[in-house]
Amino acid sequence: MENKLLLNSLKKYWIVAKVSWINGFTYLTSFVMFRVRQIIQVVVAFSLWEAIFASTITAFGYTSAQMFTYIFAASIIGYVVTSSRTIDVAGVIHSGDLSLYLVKPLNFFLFWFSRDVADKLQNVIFSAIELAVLFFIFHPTLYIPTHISTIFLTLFTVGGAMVMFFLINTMFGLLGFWTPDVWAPRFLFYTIMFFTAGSFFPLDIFPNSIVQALSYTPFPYVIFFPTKVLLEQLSSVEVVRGILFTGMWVGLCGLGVFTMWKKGVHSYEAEGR
Amino acid sequence: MESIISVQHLKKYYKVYKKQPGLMGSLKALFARKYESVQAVNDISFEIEPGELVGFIGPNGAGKTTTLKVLSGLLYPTAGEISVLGFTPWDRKPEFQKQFSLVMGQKNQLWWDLPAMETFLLNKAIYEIPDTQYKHTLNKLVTLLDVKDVINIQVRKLSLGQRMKCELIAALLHNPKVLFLDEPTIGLDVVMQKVMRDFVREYNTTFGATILLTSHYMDDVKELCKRVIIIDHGKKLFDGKLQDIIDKYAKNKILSVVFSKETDQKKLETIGKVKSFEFPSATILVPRKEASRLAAKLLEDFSIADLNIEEPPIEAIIRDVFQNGK
Repeated sequence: MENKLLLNSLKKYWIVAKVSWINGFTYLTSFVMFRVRQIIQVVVAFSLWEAIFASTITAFGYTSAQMFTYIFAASIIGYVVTSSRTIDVAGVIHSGDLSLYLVKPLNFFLFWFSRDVADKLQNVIFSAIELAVLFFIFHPTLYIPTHISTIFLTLFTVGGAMVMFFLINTMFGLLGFWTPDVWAPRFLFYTIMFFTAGSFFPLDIFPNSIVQALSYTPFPYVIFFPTKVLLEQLSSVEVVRGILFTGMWVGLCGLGVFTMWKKGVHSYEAEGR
Repeated sequence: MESIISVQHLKKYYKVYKKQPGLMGSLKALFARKYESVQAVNDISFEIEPGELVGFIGPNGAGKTTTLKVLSGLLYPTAGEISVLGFTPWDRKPEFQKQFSLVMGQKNQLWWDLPAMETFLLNKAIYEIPDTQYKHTLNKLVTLLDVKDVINIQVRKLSLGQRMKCELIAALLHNPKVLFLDEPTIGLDVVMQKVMRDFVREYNTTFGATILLTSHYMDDVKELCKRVIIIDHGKKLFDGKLQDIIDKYAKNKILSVVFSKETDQKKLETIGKVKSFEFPSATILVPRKEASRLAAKLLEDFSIADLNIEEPPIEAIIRDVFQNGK
């Protein structure tokens, strides 16, 4: 009986992801432009580091091969973690369309997480072609993890990063209960993340004090930490510490989402009829 | 019979913030906001029995939609006891949500860029509708609403009427026992309004569903609902048979007269209030209780070819009720 309930529930969100996936293809221009933006970002990062390594063999403790490998791996992980549909949540709430979700036997968060997963899958599949092209242009060394456990650890840390990033974005979305001005704080968050998540360079090129300070924020656990796990460049202690911090941020953000939702739904007025 | 919807002393107050117009008003509002409490619904009670089709009418801002939103679990009431299908709506339990549906004429659940069929399949999964029930209900609804040819076309390419039909199908696939219809015919042309009305009536009788309908179109209410609840300024003004509104609120009757000889309008005004006069026809409003006596006087004093004593149109009575704020 319980298995059937779980199966029905899984099926429900599988269909949500499927419909979201199909819907994604109707906005082809947006999708293509988003991909172009991602390619440009990676090309800029590669070109920048290529220019730096033209006059030196190592920089910030990295060889050019290590750096390119890092950026290549960070790009893949970044594609998985940071593609999201939750950007629409604030609008859904503010416009009153939330009513359409609240009257259905549907978990609002699982609905959006399913849409996120569909979006990530779409981006990963299409990014494979781009990454192949970039691979042939910049020749990064493909690092094959030496331990099978690394694969599981990477999947685990990427999963944690996905949930954390989803919850952070959802919190921005839930601001829609109180204000239409969600764009500004989200923009600020993305700007900070742009430099501190580790998508363009490994964060350990910063002075140790900054690295330490950043480690208490959620940013390094979005891209930098899972990438370093994949590249087997962390000690066991660092891996455990990173997992604990990711878990702590998932917990804190989860609590934030829960509290905001509780308060928000109570104050919700279902505007627009 | 036990009520399927029970509303006791429902109150819903909103806090709205008032802003002075212009840039200065916006700047002031950044530092000091003035809030005001609005009583959207103020102590409303009613009971609805299974299978009833009830019209919920009132002018804009009367509290109709707010009441429907509370009954659907979208809003938490300020006070009152509400039960729908034995559930407290705002607990939003899946067992409750699988048994009711809310259709809002101005809110669409269909995915705009996909054919309606995709939303139907999504709702099948969301409401966990078994395959056989889904196929049976879908076929029945598609046939009833005659939309077989449009359910596989992108929603944005459909006309408003076709979209509204598909919205209804999406809302009814799980065979809800209770249906809240909020302005289902808004914006539709007269032909499509009729189609929708026929469908709602058919759905009510075929599925035995309990329906609470709000509409600004009196034709919707007149054709569909035996019982109406009238609210204004958050208060219930009337709850009963549509016909009883006339008995309760109509102060006048209308004498429709066709004269056989020219007559003077001033003389006519001794009978009652002349609403229109264009020889040979006239309509005169007379006090309800004196209608018979004044009709007899009219026959005595004037040369009459034809005379009818009529009830005023229901729209006019309700308009008077709202305008007089009774």
